[in-house]
Parts: sequence; C-alpha cells; structure tokens
Amino acid sequence: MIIKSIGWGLIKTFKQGTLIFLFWSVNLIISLIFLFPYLSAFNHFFSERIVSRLLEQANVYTYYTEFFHFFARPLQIARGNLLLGRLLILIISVILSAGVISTFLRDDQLNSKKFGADSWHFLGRMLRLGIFQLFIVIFFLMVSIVLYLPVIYFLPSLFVENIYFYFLIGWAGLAYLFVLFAFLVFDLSRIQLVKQDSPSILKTIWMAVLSLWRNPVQIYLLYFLLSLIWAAVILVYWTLQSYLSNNSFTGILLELVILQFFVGIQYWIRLSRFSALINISGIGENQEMAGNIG
Amino acid sequence: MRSIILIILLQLPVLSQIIFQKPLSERVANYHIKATLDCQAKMIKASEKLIWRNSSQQLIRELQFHLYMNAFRNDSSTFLSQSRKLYPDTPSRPRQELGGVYIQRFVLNSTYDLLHSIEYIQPNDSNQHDSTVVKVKLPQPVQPGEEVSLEIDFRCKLPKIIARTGYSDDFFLLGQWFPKIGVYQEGKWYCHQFFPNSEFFADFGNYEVEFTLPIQYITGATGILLREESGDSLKTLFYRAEDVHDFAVVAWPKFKQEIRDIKGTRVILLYAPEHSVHSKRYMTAITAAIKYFNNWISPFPYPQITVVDPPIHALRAGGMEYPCFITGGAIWGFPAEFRLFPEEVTIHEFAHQYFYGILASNEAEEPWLDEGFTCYATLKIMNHAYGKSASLSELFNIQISQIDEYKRSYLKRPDLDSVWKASWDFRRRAYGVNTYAKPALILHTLENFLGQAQMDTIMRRYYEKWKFRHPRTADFLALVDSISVRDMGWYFDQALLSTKVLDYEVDSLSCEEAVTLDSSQGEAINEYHSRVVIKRLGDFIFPVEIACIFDNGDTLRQNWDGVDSVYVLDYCTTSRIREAQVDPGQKVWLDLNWSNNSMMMKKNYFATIRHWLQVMKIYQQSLLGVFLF
Repeated sequence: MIIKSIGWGLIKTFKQGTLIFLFWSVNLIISLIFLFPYLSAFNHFFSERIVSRLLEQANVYTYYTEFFHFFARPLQIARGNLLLGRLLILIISVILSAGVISTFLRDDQLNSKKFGADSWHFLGRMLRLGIFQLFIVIFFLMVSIVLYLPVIYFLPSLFVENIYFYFLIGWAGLAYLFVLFAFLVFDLSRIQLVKQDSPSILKTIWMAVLSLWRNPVQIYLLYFLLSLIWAAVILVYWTLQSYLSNNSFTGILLELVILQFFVGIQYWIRLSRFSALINISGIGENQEMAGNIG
Repeated sequence: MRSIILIILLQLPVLSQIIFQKPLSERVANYHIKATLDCQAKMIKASEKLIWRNSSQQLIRELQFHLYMNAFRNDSSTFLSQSRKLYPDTPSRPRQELGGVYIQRFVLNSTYDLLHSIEYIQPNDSNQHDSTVVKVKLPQPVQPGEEVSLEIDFRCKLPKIIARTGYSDDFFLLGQWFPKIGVYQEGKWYCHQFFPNSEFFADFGNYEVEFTLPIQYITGATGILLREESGDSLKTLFYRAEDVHDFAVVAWPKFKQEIRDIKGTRVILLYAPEHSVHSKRYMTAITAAIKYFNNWISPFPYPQITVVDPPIHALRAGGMEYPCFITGGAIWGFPAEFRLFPEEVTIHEFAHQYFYGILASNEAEEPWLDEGFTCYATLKIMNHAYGKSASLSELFNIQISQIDEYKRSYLKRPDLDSVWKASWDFRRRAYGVNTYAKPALILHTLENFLGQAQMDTIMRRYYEKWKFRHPRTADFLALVDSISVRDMGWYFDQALLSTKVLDYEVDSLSCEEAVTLDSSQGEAINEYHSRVVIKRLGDFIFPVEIACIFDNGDTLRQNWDGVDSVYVLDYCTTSRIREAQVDPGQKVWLDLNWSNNSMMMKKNYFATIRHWLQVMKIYQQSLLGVFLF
C-alpha cells in the first residue's frame, strides 16, 4: 500500500511537469537575483587580480579570508539578501501549496487559471497555517533539546566518546522523526483545508490528526520512505558531481545542467508527497471538493 | 628475541640514576618531592625539599615563590577575575571546584621555621585577593654562590580542570601543583602573579619525585620512571628529571599506552581508549617533529617525551607543554583530512620543548618568544610533514595551510597592539594574535627576506648560545644583527614595537600604443607605453620586489624600498604589458591583503564563474531546504 501510494504519487506528479517546472523556475530565478550582489562583489575583488587564476583550480583559504575581510560590508548586505531569498521562497511555497493540492485532488491537468484562483482563495489560511506550523516545529525542536539536556549533564561520567557519538546520531534521528510528525500533520491539514474549504485552520489540524490516527503507521512510513528517497537522490547527486571536474568551462556547464536536473527531481519528490498522502489517507476518495473552489 | 632486545635497549636509560653525565644547565633549583594523591578528595599531600643556589652576584635577603594553584582559590584572584573581564562568558566556579596550595611547614636549612614569615605579595596588580606569589624574609642573606635548603610541607587542593591543570572525574593532570621558587636575575626577583594569559618562568634543576597513588592508575610524567613499589591498594612511583624547570604528572586508570623509539628519544603515548584510531596520527606527528628539529636546530637532548591524549571530558587538559611532557587533544571521529587535532597541537607542543623547555625565556614578560617561535616552528614542520598548500586541512576540497590560519588570525586584528609586551599588558583580545600568529608571520617574513640558509643559521646559533638559559628578545635581536649582513632594527622596530600594518596594492595598470619612426631604418615601429601605479596602503615600510610581465613573455623585475606611499613605473616596450605584481614570490606574509598585490590588463572571469557554480549549488539546495523543511 505504501509503495503503491508512493508510486502513484510520483507518477501523478510526473504528469504535472508544469508544476515541477514552476517550482524549479522560482528557485532558479530567486537564486540568480539574490546571488547577484554577492557574485558581483566576488568578481570585483578578484577578476583583475592574478590570484583569480589560483582560484580557478582550488579553494584557497587565504584569498577567501581576505575577500571576506575586505568586503565585509557588502558581503553582509549580500548575506542579508540570501536570507531574504530563502524567506521569499518559503512564502511562495506556502502560497502555491493550495493550487498544488487542488490540482492533485482534481486529478486533472494543470489549469493555470484554476491554480491561481485556488492559491488566492486559500492565501490567508495557508499563511496562518504556515506560521502556526513554524511555531509548532520550533516547539518540537525545543522539546527535543530539553530531552537531550540530561545527556549533556551526565556526559563525563556515563559515556565514552564513541558511544556518545552513536547516541547523538540516534538522538538526532529521533528528533528528526519527532519534527517530521509536525510536518506530516500540517501537510495533511493543508490537504484537508483545500478539500473541506474549512474557515477554521484549527478544525483542519484536528481533522488531519484524526486521519493520521486512523492509519498512523502507513502514513508515517510513507513520509519516512519519501524522505529516504530524497536522501538517496542527494547521495547520487553528490557521487556524480564528485566525478566531474569543474575546472573547465564545459565541466562547469555540465555540472550546472546536472544541478538543475537534480533540483527538478527534488521538487518532483517534494510535490509528490501531497499526491501520495491524498492517496494513502483516503482524503480524496468518495468526497466532493467544496463547491466554491476555483 | 628482537623485541626483547629492543625493550632492554629502551630501558637502558632508566637503569642508571643519573641521566646526564655532564649537566646541561646551571641546576639552580633542585627539588625532591614526596607526594600522595588522594583521588577522592582531589588533594595532594606532599613534602618538598628544595636545594636552591644563589646564582647571582648579589646578597639575597628574601625568597619569592609561585603558588600558581592559588589562582583557583577564590573567584577574586587575579586569574579568575581577569578571565571574566577578558572572556565575559567565564562562569564563576562553585566552591567544590576551586583549588589552592596550603603551606603547612617551611623550614630553612633544617633550622629556621619560617612558616610565619610567609607573606602574600601582589607585585603586578596589588590585588589583595590574589595569593599566587609569596615572599619569605630570610634570617640571614644568601651569599652569591651559596646554597640553601628549604623543607616545605604542603597540601594542594586540585581544581576542576582549568588552564590545563586539575581533575576531571577520575582523570588528573598535575601542572603547577607545588610551591616553585621564582627566578632571581639582575638584582631582582622575577616572580609574577598568575594572569589568565601568562605562563611560566623558572630556573633549571633536577627533580626527584616520589608519587603515591591508587594502584590502578596509569601515569605519565616529566621525568623518567626509575622504579615502582606496589602495596595492596597504593603504589609509589619514583621519577627523576634532570635539567628541566618544571614537573608535571598525569594519572588516569583508563589510559592505553604505546612506546616507540624515535631518533634515540623514547616517545610514550598515553591515550584514551576510544582514541586508539588517533594513536597513529599522534605518532606520525611527533615523529615528524622530532626528526625535523633533529635536522633543523639540534637533536632533542632528553631521553624521553610523554605525549598525553586526554579523554573528551578532560579536553581542557589538552594543548599544553611541560618539560618532556605534552598534552595533545583529539575527538573521536575527527576527520583525518583536518589536522588541527591531534597533528598540529602535538607538533606545536613538541616545538615548545625547544622554545620554552630548553630556551627558557620569560613567558610572562615576553610571551612572543615562546609562543611566536613555537608557531613559526609549527608551520615549518606542518609544511614539511603534510605539504605546503594544505598542511592544516584539505577537508571538503578547501586547502588550508598552517600559515593561512595564522594569516586569518592576524587579519582580524592586525593593529590592535604591539608584539613585544608582557602578557598582562595586552589590550583585550590582543594577546592571541600578537603572541602566536603575528610573531610567526614576522619570523617567516624575516626568513624569506634573509634567505632560509641565513635564518637557519640564526636559529641554530640562538639555540646553541642560549640553550638551558633564559634568553630575552634583546638577545635574539642582537644575534640576528651579528649574523645578518644588514641591520634589521628597522624591521623589528616596526614589527615588534609598533602597530603598523603592511599592505601594498597595485592601484592601476595602463598601456597605450604609439607609433614611432625608427630613424636608422626609416620604418614605423609599434611601441607600448605602460604605466603601473603601486601604493603602500599601510604605514609599515618594507622593501618589495615588483614584477611586470609582457605579452611576449618578458618579465621585468624591480625593487622598491616602499618609503614613498606611491610608486609609479613607466615602461616603453615593443610588447604590451599583461600583468604586474608586487611581491611575486609571496614572501611578505605580513602583507595584509595579497589579493590586491597584482593586476592584469584583461579581467579573468573564470574564477567567478567557478565560484558562481559552487555558490549556486549551495544556494539552490538551501532554497529547497532539507526534505519537507
């Protein structure tokens, strides 16, 4: 059932290639816009200097240190821009999530008018849900840290280093699953929100918890397996790029193309989680979507 | 059979009571200490017999002693109170984690009980809460050349590990644990209080230490273990060290031990069991250091060195030097490509065996002489052992050499303070850079200026002249002047005594084409008028070489004394200028910004494109976030 849902989700999402393209484009455009001041500073500092030839071959620490030191002010602004870019893409993702979910619920080809209308219709509630999610995730992270404090206290007498290291990895894994739970509930809430068009986000969260309660193991496993697939994709990408030489112009171009391909794949997996969740939770079955959408 | 012979050979030095047939030092302060470690109470009960000789030409009417451990006796001591000023996040220590030395008996020449003559003094800061120095008035002065004996019974409460001494759980590192006499020179006592940034200064001598502790403990110490006597629950270890100026002991029941002979020096590595993966790294580093010094300056004169790898909970014991005894530091799983721990720290602490241990300068008054020279030696050994371009790290394809790290430190605070200062006189955050990184760069720049052969001669003569003595900065500078063909005062004045910064820049590069008529041939010739403008941005004046490369491959080199703030070079050549560079050999490590030392006629965008790809990779992924986040 889980594998079937994942497969179903991936196929459905693959058919919505425009959606993947949309998210990939947003990512690329924001990257280009917000990286420009940083790269401009880099270019200004190095391009007319001989050391730039050295930097073609290797990342030489001294020159980067000098760059960061003597360009501290513009770099500070550039770093601020980078953070702004991340925040912007987070907001865009939240805004567009209603359009994505409604497309999957309709099981229809992407209709840009409907997509836009749905995203607009749920804008306020999706944003509220996003902010609420942020607080819950922070709360869960804090709980994870608090649970970890006794370990730090007893470290000198209880643990030898390597056992402690494995313990730390184990704790990080558990914390990840813990936080994953918060994300899972909120993804289900978004689906419920679009499905029911409920005015109350608390009600949709409650409904999401109920659907999770009905089928907790499978939904959780689905989510976990999807994250493993994502990790495998990243691993493949890292391995592939380690074989590529980026010291030639062709090499750089090739690596850039491969990077975009893998960014697209990651969006594919990320978007397919909604589709797979709709399938495994049964939210989309035998139910009509609220009439006032789209 | 071979291993049995090897063991016998390794044990040979310990079979005799005398280590050196001929004394290496003046042996001014000689200690015989009987100490018992109470592991539960974290306390040492000891009696010390000190034979001290007045090596000066003056009558001495009082003696001064360091009680370093009293730095941790109360929160208002100079050490702890200043630590909080320098590092505001330093927490107050709970009462049970404090330490201190308590003298219970003080007898001179087996006759005079001077316990009540002991007086705490604060020669540096008048802080009445500080009890790290005491003076004792003598009933009669000590004549030049005369020896006195002092019998001192004391208790030393060990602090929770701090400043590389104390206990952590069942681990003990005993550094600065006994009353230690100051150094009398030039008619006065050099016996400074213990400051957060200051280290130690003492006279050479012999140490015989009988150390009693629970039988299950594994120990290491400054001296050679002569014999061991075991009882039911306790054992006594008999150590002897000659021609050293301090004595440290480490004890922990869980140590693993590895012994190896390197160039006639027995290396004893004591390591935490979970760090067994790092033992090879420790051995490689210490081998590289011993061999390098063997060729560079002089073979290590002592028969043994103990290298201690503390467990993670006692990591504050790491990175410290005592005579014939160093502590490193490692963390389980620390990647082999990053050689800060244990390689760099091991090599650094070993280098201290020369610049502190043998060339025993006053670490409190002239800290650059030990830390700066040690850093200079560290970078030479790291380069030699692990490659020049990435001696410190090549993790994640980022090349960091040892000197890059010094440069980074220097770049952050290049003009905060001068180098030649007492450790307590530095401005806030200035001690580290001016004692470690900047002096290393100063010496490396000096080496590049004078040439390696001349610098090596200086270092060897410095060692030969001052070994087992107390050299000062002026002694080193005088030696440089006597060997160098040039007076180097101009350099040291700027580098050691001022906060001047050094930075050259190629400000502009231009080239204009002109057609002239060759009068002899009557033909038109293309000529190029090139202009290179170089600026000295800092106030540190240093002569540099300038290289201009032309399209036809010709290179024109010129020297500039750097006195004026701007230097203009005009060339009229038959080829177009391609690039200009100040200090093309990258010899001047004190130059703050190397990147601006050059200019090309054509911009090179490739590095930017490459960097753009690297940043794009990180940024596009960071916009995606970790899965679902």
